[in-house]
Amino acid sequence: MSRFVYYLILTNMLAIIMSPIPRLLLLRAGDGALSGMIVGIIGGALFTYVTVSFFLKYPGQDLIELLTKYTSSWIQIPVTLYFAFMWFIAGTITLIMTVFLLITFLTPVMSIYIISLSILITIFFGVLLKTKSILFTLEILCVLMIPVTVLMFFKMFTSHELDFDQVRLAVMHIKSIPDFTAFNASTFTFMGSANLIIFNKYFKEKQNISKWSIICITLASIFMLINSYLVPIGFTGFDEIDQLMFPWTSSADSVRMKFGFIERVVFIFMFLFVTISFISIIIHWHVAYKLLSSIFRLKSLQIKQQNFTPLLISFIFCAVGLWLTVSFTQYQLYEYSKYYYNILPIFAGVLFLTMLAIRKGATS
Amino acid sequence: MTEKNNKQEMPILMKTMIQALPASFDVLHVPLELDDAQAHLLYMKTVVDGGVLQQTVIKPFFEIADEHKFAAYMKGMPNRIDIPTTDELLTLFTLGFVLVYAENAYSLLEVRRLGNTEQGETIAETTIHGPQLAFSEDLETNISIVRQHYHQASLYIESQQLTDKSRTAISLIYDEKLVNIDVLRRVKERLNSLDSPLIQSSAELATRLTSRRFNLFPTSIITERPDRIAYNLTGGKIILLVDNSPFAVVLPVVFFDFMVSMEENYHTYFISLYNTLLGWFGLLICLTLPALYVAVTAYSPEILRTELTLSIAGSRIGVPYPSFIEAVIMLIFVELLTEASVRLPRSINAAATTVGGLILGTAATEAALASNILIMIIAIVAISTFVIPMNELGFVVRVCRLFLIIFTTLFGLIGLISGLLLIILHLTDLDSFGQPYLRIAWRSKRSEKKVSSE
Amino acid sequence: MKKGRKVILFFFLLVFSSFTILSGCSYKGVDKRSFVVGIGIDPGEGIEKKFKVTLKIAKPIPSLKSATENEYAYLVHESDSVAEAIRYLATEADKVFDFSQAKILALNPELLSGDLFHLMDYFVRRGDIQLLLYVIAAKPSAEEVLRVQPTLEAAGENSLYNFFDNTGTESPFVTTTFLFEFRRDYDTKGLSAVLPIVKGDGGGTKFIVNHALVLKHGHEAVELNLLETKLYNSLKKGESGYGYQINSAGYKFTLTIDRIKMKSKFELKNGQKPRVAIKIKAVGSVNESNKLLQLRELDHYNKISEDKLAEQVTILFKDLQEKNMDPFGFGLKYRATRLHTDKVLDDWKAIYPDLEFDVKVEVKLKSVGAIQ
Repeated sequence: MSRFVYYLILTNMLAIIMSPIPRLLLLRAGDGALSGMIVGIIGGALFTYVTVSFFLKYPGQDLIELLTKYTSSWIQIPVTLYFAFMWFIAGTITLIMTVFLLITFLTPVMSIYIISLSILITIFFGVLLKTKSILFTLEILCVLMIPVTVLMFFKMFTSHELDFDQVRLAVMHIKSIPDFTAFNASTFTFMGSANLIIFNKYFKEKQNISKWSIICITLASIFMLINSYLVPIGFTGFDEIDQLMFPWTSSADSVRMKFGFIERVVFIFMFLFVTISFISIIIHWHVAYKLLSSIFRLKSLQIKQQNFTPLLISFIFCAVGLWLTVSFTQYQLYEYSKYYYNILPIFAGVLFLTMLAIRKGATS
Repeated sequence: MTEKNNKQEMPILMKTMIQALPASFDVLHVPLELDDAQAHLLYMKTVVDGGVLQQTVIKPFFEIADEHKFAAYMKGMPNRIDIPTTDELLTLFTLGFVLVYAENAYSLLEVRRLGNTEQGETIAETTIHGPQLAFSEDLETNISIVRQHYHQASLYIESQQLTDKSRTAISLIYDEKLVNIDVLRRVKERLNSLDSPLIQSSAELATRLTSRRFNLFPTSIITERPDRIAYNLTGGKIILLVDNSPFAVVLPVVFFDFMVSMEENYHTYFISLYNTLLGWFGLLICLTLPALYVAVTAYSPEILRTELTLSIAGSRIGVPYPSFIEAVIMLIFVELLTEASVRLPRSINAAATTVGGLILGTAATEAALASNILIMIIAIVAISTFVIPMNELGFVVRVCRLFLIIFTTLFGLIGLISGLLLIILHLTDLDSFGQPYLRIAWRSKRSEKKVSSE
Repeated sequence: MKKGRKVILFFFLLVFSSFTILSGCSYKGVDKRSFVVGIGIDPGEGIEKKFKVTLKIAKPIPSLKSATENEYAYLVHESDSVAEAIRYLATEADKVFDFSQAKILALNPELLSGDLFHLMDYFVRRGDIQLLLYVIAAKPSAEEVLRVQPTLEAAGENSLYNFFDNTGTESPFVTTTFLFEFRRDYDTKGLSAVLPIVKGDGGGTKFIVNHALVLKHGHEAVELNLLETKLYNSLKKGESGYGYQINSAGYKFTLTIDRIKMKSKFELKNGQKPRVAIKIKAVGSVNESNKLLQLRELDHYNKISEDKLAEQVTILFKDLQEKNMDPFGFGLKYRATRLHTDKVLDDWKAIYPDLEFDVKVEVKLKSVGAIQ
């Protein structure tokens, strides 16, 4: 597998910290979160395997091409629209969550418009980049961020204040029936591989998916889930964990570097994860943008040699993102994102059916 | 008799040429005559090397003293070329060619007065251990310098003349075995489609070669170091040499090339690694530190330790301006200082820096126009700008820094992150002659040299 | 392509210029903020005034070199809630309060019994107050402790921080409790929170930090004495250092402990009293003695120390058990070692009063110091 596939998957995993997933998991800490996560990990690993091995069969082709080649347009258009919607929402959830987090922890007095705009300006340009450039940016950020992130995680895990009895207490709840939302939320950790529907265009060489790569991805996601579920419990206690709105950030705020230049680790984490959520939003919206622009290409926006449809799409994305960020309350965010995660099985189903249709079209 | 008369008359081509050339004082028509032998020379005095002309043409004429033999001698000259069309011939005169007429035949000899063939010392990129001499200002000398640094049969040199008014000769140098054909094609296309009226130096040529007009980041390296040229040739890059310019243009570049100091090749592994890291650290510092100061003082003092926050707050007591104005003013002040020290003659240079840096800095804090800590930051930033190995990048960083300050002033710390990310996005979006500008090429230095495409 | 770039550039400039107007409301220069370094809460004296809030505000020091001591401003107000008091105090100050650097939350012990929800809510709810706040119980009152100006304090430092952040003094007598820890331990069933008691003394010139206060939801707070505080810190937090007095069998020496570790295991058998086996391992050396000590007799000294320590620890456990306090978290341990059912917590509530402690101490003295 190309290293970029790993980056795509890894970014998605890291970005769950900046999504409502930790809280959704922790809300069900008493009943079924842990078992849901375990089932979710199995499901997610399967999802990754199926998606990646499907796209490896068609090197250098993205879903749009495959759809136009092998299926008829009455499949193509609704499927593309549905996927664009799903990806747009995924990016939007990260955006709203990031803005809420910043407004709570970093700049409480700043206007929500300004915070969102400071993010959206960069995203606006990022979405319009060439797919290849996004991959390069992704790689640079991964190489810069991941060592620091790992170091910080290490710092967290070895912190004195991390109470392992609380963690054990949480593990003791393993016997309950798997929770549906927890299952879906933890499958989402793996969904980075689904970005291949667009990014596959740039993986032209014939590659194989090995057993080891699936194992590595699974291990990494287990680590990330532990990180987003058990670490907050260890720092903020099992019994009242559902009171925290941003459990993960609150627990990052509980770690300090005695001799560090910045004493409160939470800021380093915030820089890291804001950057990661930036790139995660860019990736998600870029996929949505590519899908949409494969269907819409407005002739009226053609001025000389330049077609302004991409600019328009990106602008609409940013505008809708801004509007949603401003109008959503925290409760709505958690409720609606719960619905979003709960329809993920449908999404996976649609994706698999589309793959089947393409396979069928390709063989006949 | 008739024959003799004929001979004394001016040959037809010579005549047309003299008419076509303006009557400048330096256009010379010299008829040579000895006994029966006759010859005509036509050249421009100011661009022709008189000594060489005397030694290789005039003196042999009088020694041979036979028209037939002299004509044969002319045909055997190593610097002789055939007569091109009349239009081209006119330009060739301006380049230092001599038209020789002997025994009904014309020869065109290149007797160019060479430009400045002296190799100066390296000024822009100095190293401690590397070669100390830079390129000269003469194209041929420079080509020979390149040849001497890179003894490979596959080194290919294409000469060409620019189509603008300067008619400058340029050479395209590359290693045939390593060069990327696609890039080469693009470079040639761009060279042929140049449409600027006057190009005077390699730096100007380099800017004209890029297709975008509004460019911040340079898409080629300008260097004066022969060893960097050899280093880049091994990387499969294309070198452009321009006559009368002591700088060479290296194409295409990746961002990392700007962070390579030639010094790194002359040290042991760990020392050069340390130096590289130092360079990157310097880049990061001089890019973000002023913006970080603004962010910390204006938006998020909580990220620092209490003691530091209080002492920043203390040092800002009495400063009437908000911190971003303070930072911008001081930055511009330092920029002025840097620019001034470039323009000033070297002897006064030191005095200007001392007066500007030390005295004004202290006075600014005494007068409570800037905080102590800001003065320190500005000094660090100014110093670390010079750590960046390539000057070109240094200039870019100065602009980016202001951009980041604006972003931070508007949006706080998140603005800083956002701005940095925007720069990275812009860099990855850029390309240098079809090659991605910024991307991480694994396989370390070897492929960093290589222009390889994926 | 060129056209497009220009449009983008134009758009960019437009966006930028419009935000210069929008921005500015959140732009608060560091010199326009007053940094609150300590918050103190006492019971209010007036009628319907529940809390008396004291804010300790640091004055910026123009030059550390010429300053001789710290200057602080204190703002005090009584009100029915913490937020209201702070809101009132904000009207007294010309600069905006910045709580992000606050590191001390001093609470009057009188406030610490019963339900703490209302008291603590403000501090956890505000995102900009760090969770790495040191929570202390202040005697005689929070205000007085905040007003202490130690003689040893240099300009630019806060000596109260030095007690707790483990960069200055490191002593087994000092309990460090961060805000998040306090909240976690207080809320967890089967665990009691512990706060250090800071006494202001010497006419407002010194602190004494060597006692601790155990808190549990709905119970009266229990104060730990010198020895108990030390044992708690060593066993629960792994703090080590000087000052373990062993006075037995004619010997009287002081140990320095380098490492100390406690492990516990429940032994529940039907028909028997529930027992918890506690193993303590300590490594250290002798610091002071009333007799000459022989190297070859180290084992003997180990034995003496073991017995003494075991005795002290058992007394402490029993004492806490009687008061139904559990700062060592046996309850949590119990819950964390068996699969969850609805009964676990009730089981524990029944078990704890009858629990027997079986303490085994293993002391390993490495040396007797520089002389015999």
